[in-house]
Amino acid sequence: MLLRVRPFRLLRLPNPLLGLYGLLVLGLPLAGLGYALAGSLGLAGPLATGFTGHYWQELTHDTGLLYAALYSLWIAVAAVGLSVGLALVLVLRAQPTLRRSALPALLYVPLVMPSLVVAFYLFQLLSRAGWISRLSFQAGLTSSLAAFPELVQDAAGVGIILAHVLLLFPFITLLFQAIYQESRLDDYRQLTLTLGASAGQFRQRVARPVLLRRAAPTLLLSFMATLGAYDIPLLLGRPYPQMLSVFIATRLQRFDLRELPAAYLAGFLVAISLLGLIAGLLRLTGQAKALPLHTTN
Amino acid sequence: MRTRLLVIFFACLFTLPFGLLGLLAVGENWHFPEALPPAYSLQALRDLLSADNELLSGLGRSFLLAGTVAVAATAGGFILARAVTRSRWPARWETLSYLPYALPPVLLAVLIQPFIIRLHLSGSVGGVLLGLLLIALPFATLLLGSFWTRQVTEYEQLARTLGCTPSRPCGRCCCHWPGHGCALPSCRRFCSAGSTLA
Repeated sequence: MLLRVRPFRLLRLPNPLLGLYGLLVLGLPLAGLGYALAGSLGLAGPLATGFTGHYWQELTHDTGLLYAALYSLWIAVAAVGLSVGLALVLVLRAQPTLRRSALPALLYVPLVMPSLVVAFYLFQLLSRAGWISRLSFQAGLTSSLAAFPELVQDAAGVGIILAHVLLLFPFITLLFQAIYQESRLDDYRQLTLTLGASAGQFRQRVARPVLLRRAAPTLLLSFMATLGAYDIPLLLGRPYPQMLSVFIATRLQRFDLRELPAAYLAGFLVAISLLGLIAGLLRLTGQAKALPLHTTN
Repeated sequence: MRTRLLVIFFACLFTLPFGLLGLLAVGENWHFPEALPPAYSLQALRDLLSADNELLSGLGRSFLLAGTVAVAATAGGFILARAVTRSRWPARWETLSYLPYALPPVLLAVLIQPFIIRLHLSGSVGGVLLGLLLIALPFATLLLGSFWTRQVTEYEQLARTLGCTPSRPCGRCCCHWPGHGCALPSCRRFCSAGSTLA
């Protein structure tokens, strides 16, 4: 029979510990958010002059933040979309390879590489003076540096997307594979085939929805991480357009202190927008989870 | 055949970074359009290991920071995970633990920077530690949260009925259990600390 012991007596854990944890995890970011709002209104910061709506009004003339947000959104959607697509193909079409070979072990290799190293590697590989360009020149496919297509520091962010895909898709593949095995999707496959469905129908109507629904929170976090990436776009991106983190960090690091309120305003707006986006996406994924399996197809 | 081709393809894809970066490290006067370096030298490696190079001290600082953060976050996360699991609102605490991941690290750093400056921690190891713990502690709390199941509570209570003091069941029995999960936070903190210091 279980002993009825009060949790905190059993733990000998002072109640304030959770309070301190809340202060660190919630209090500090919220205080920062409040400070950024006050800074954007001229109420806080080194050159605070009193309440002003000047910086908020100026925002309507400055399209930099909007372009940075749209550019980041494009990169995140493309990188996560490609990674999820590749991982789905691998998990749903190469199941024997994933079960009986060294492939799962290989997929761990990119996970140990810091993002800055991956960015530097891709720069050395894909730039106009990079290794692939040299090979194509030696093979006679290109005649000069300029003849090689721009794959890094390009307007569309191809290099940034590739770097994120290289880091994300092995992780998502391992995640999908774990879900595939935990959900006993192989048994469901046998069952659907016995009931007369084709392998394609199993993949589209059973396996894909199960994998996507169960991985939704992790995919959402990966999307947010890509949206706010700093190292990779710093090395593989252009000065314009910039991704959000680079845009805000660049503004904060300028020598002109009068630019600080605008940078705080950008930080505040981005933080609020991201929290709103997460709340919306979480609600969407929650609704998707509540739907019966067949209605999503 | 298809399996072998896939494995070879991924082996090439994932080992190419090490090969190319290795060539860049030992290659000398390697200019466009040469596909391979004309000469090889270990001079760069020697410079790297020389006493006056700051990279080694940076590596040492990274190890120290990573070790400190990993130990502090794992120990703290272990205790906090137990507190969260047995609190009145475990789901709310769990959602709260996701907040540092909802914001990009640079944005989080931007938001807390004024307080770091006011605490005179800017540019110091303490500031970096605080910033890393803000990410690592919730991660460890979430990771170790799944450990504190009803079964563990029952083992703990069983140990107490056999005469253990309230602190001993945890120290003697439970602490050894989730040890395998500690390697990942340690490794990740090392990478984060390294890139932050760089």
